[in-house]
Amino acid sequence: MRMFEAAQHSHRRLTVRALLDQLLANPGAVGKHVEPEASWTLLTTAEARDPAAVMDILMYPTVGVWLARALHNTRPGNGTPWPELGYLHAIVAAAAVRTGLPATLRVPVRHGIVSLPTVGHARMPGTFPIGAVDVVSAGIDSRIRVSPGVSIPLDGSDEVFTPARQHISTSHRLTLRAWLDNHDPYHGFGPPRPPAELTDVEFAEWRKLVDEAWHVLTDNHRQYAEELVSGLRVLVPIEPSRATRASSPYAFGGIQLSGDESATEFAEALVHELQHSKLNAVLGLVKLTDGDLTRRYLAPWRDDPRPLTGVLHGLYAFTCGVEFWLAEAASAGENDDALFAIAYRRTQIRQALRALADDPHLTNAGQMLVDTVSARLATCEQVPVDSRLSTVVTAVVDDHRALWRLRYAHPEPDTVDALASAWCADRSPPTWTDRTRIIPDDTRRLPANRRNLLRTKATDPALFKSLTRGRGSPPGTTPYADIAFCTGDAYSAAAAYHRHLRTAPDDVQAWAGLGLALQAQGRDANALVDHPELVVAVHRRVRALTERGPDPLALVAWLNPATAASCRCRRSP
Amino acid sequence: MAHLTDADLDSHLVDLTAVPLAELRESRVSELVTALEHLYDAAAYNTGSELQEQND
Repeated sequence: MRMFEAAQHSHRRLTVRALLDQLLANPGAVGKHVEPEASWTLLTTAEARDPAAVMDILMYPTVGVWLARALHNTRPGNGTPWPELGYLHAIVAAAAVRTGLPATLRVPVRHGIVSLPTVGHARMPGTFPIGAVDVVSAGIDSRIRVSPGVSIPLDGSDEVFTPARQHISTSHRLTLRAWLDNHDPYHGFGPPRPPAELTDVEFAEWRKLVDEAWHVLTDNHRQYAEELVSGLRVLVPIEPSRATRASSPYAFGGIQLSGDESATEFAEALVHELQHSKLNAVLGLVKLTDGDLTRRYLAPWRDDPRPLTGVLHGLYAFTCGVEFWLAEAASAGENDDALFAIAYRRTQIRQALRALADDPHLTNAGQMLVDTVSARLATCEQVPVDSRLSTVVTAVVDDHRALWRLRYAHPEPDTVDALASAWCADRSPPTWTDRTRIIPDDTRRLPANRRNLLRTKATDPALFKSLTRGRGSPPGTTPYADIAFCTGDAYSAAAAYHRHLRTAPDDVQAWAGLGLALQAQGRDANALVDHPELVVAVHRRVRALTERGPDPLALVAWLNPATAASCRCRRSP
Repeated sequence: MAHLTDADLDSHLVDLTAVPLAELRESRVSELVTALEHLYDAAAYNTGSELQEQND
């Protein structure tokens, strides 16, 4: 972790220099309220007084996010003032206050809050909107000057100002220290956003969860606990209603978490997100991928197409998660949720690893990472999983993949035309070369009704029973077929999906369900399982040519041999 | 962590942790200039809004 932290520190320092050089060359992006060169002089003077304090500020995760945004948004060609540049003054004001350097800086107020990284935040009094205030660094008299007659001292004597808080947990002789910050405008690790507003009770519960999670980690995952001691810098508490766990490539050591989980799940989330920080630091040192940065892949744990580095992140972090849950199951006892997490994640990871086999866009180091993850996963796969659970998670993962391809995979139009023409002429299908393009053109979540039902089957059998035997109408476009499939009646499910497609031939949930149901019967459905987007596109094209849709089962059977020949080597993502 | 050795880490980032910011601004050493070029190239793609977020 020390090496990663040093690499990130170097990167931050270099980014500050890069930004200052860029602003000097592109003054149009600066505007009249920000003084980059004067800020730089103050920052260097502050560093000369106390290098550790300035390092602490530069390494603050939200500062990393802002630096990345600033470097992107003030590039040459962006000639209008960037409205977020004022945060530079907040960084420098924090450095001045921390090092006792006399200075006055004009700092922006966002969402009614002035936030100084590692120093604290003040909520502006009154309801009158204030755009900026002066931060006066003057030793023990440091203050925020709101107007000539109104100042807020930074010594904690006025409740309007909240000094930066650290959460400290100790368990099994290991102490975790992390800043808590849900008020910095970049606490969401993206564009500025209002503070995450937790009630006092929610905040207390959230902190209690950190303590309990820390106990879990120190008790049973000592190595990860030690990593967190070294690498975790800021925890961002998020409202429980937002169910969030996230990190950012620019926020090394920063983790955003809502407190809506059990202590064990919270502990696993801390481990998971720290792995992203580690891999981000590795990516700053060595190239793991090469080539087309716009190429997108299936990440089985995400609904949206991801860049290759995103897939690597998930592979690494989720493998650590599987190891975490296996250790939990071994020591704390098995429960349905843990068993599901183990089986589900390792199936997802293996699917992603298969899709990456021999990917030309991995560098040698990237391939080494993939091979290492694969070997670690193979060890996890030695632990037996109940065959019924294995069947359920395989269906969940296959369902997600089919729906993902139906949403984002675009077959080549010439291939679709050739296949549709052959069908209409009653010829055998020509073999085709897979030139499918993945286009991330839709940000909606994928339908999850069937997957949710399957997950419930594995983790809450009593609820599953009531959902599948209830009199109410389940959600989704194919509820009764879904229930038949999820309860193991693949024949009735296939018949119901088939029937549904007669009247709704573009319903992707029905197509994906038909593929799952045929596969569950042991029937050959590789065309529909591997390339559902092609089956649906050909079906649509034939309808356009003949005004009569082919029978889905006949079309799948007709396409199977050509699809098998085209995908002989491996499944595409 | 994967078994990446120091030799595999063909680092293109110079260790700047011990270089005072004041000196860093003036430096024109070639490794630093190359690292700056990498940063500017990356900034064209990296918007500062990318998240690693679990959403399944």
